Amino acid sequence: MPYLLRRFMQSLLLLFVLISFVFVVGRIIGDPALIMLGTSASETALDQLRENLGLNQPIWQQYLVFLGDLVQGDFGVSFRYGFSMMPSDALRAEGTPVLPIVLSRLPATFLLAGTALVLAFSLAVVLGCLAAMYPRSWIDNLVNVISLASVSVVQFWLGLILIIVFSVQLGLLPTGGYGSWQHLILPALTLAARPLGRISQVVRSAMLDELSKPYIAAARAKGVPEWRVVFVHALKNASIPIVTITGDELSQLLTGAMLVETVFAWPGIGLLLIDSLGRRDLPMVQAGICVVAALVILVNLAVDFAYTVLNPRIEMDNRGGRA
Amino acid sequence: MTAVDAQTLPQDEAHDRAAAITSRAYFGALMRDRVAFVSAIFLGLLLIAALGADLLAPYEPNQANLRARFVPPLGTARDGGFHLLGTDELGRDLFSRLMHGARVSMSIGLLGALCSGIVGITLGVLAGFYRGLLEDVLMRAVDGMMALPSLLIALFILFVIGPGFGNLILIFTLLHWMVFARMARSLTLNHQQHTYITAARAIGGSDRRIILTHLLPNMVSPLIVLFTLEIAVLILSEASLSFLGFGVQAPQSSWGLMIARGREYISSAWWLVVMPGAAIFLTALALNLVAAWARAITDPVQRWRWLTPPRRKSQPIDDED
Repeated sequence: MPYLLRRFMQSLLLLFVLISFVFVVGRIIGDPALIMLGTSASETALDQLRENLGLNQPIWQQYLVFLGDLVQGDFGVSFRYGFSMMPSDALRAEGTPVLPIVLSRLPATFLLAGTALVLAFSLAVVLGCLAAMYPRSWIDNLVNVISLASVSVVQFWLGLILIIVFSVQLGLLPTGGYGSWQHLILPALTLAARPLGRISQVVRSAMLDELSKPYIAAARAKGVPEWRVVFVHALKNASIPIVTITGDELSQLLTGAMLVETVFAWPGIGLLLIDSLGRRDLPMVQAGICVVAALVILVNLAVDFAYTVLNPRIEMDNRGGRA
Repeated sequence: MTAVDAQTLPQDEAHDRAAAITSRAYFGALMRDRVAFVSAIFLGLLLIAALGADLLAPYEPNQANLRARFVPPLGTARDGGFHLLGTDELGRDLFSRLMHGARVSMSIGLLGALCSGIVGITLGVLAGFYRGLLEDVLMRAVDGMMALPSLLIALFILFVIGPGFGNLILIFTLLHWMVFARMARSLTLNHQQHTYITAARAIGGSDRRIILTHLLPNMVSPLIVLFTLEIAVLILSEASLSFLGFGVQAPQSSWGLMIARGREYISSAWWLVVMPGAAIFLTALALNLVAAWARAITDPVQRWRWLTPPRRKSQPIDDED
């Protein structure tokens, strides 16, 4: 089987396993009626809800219905969406199908994650290349400090610090919300910190490897300008580990956005998910998790695809793992 | 001995010196790497503060004192009490609360890493030792689980089974064993090719004996490095989950929960957010630095440079060669 087709099938299988896991945790380990109504609900109310949701049927039958609905894009209806904090959402009534609501939040999350990724990636490539060009210089130390700090800091705390400095003390930027480019700056910076540290470290070590190879000496010998040697010749060949780590970081960004969106009241899928968890809106939570997980799986697949394009020589081993 | 002598010292001699590794040599190496040394001291103090919080904390952590509300760091309350890191909205001393919070955050990090380590290492060693179907299934599971967003899944499970200390440990074990399994398996595969394992088998050592007395002791140092890093990762995860309200619950308090509470007063009492986060940051930083040091010191290729006493003024920290 061609490599990419096999990877695609594996991704589908993983998605299926995840959906089944969501079902098992939601229906078998937990009692949906109890989750949604809380322990203080009366027995009649619980029974009524179980009846409405079809929870009295045998579990395998529920599972088939659950899968059948998902295939048709039906994640159920929201349990208490009408209570949302968002003014435009408040107009809509309870009982709305959850999937369109989840999907409507995607653009905001994409905007945030995309901005953060572009920011982190471009800065990381420049910093990493400079660090590799001048080993043991101050810029090399800076890259080391940034990458160490970025794995040690809690993202939401960094966001709160930025709020304290730029919103509370200096009064330059809004503390949260959505709408203008000013609203985007702080959340994007917060989210970019971690990938910046991780990617710049990988760029640095990949570039150190490449710059010590003979073809670089050859390029220099024939008089290619140094910036061209580094940013064109070497960077192109160092791109595989860089793409891998960027892909990993992108899937991290999608979940990291959850916390950052909560801190900055950014109306993306993460904030919706956290709100729904708080409101015990099980169908919405399930839909949110499935959509985010599907995105993460898709990103991983895209990274593997980028691999084969970037380096056709890569021989894929039989296990289908990354080389 | 002059500096010139030192530079011409043959490497072989250095290797001979490294052969006699003692705990004193390790300690000496730690002393020479100033950053790692400071980190280790910090972690030691933190451990003492966490363990002895009942005795050492200057104030009762849950004692509200309305005459001492919102005292800034290094401030003195109206009743004359000095507060190193200030007080919160109920007049509770932040420094004392941080010490008690350290106990929760650290024990979740340690216990979580320990449980996931035990599960992961057991599975990984068995997979690497017996190969076959077990290895196939296990490594597929590891690949699959590593590809999923773990924070999201942790939130969902905690949402269903409810938050709390014990459930957090359970979740961390469930979602973090893979890193240990992956490393334990590759280490086992690596070591199994060595002659000493063949020799142990030749003299009739049982599988159990080979694994317990030959394989595991040789795998300890890289696993300890991973363990240290994992503690940092778990402390950060715990903070995130507690911040979102699905981790530690009041009246227990962790650093993450303290940030979540302090957030309400972000415009008036910045220290309620800054201090607990700084504690998390410094702890994770120290753990990462100590892990980096431990990795360098246990790497056979470069440890001779660390374990032999310095003859040049500076010892380069080098991760490329």
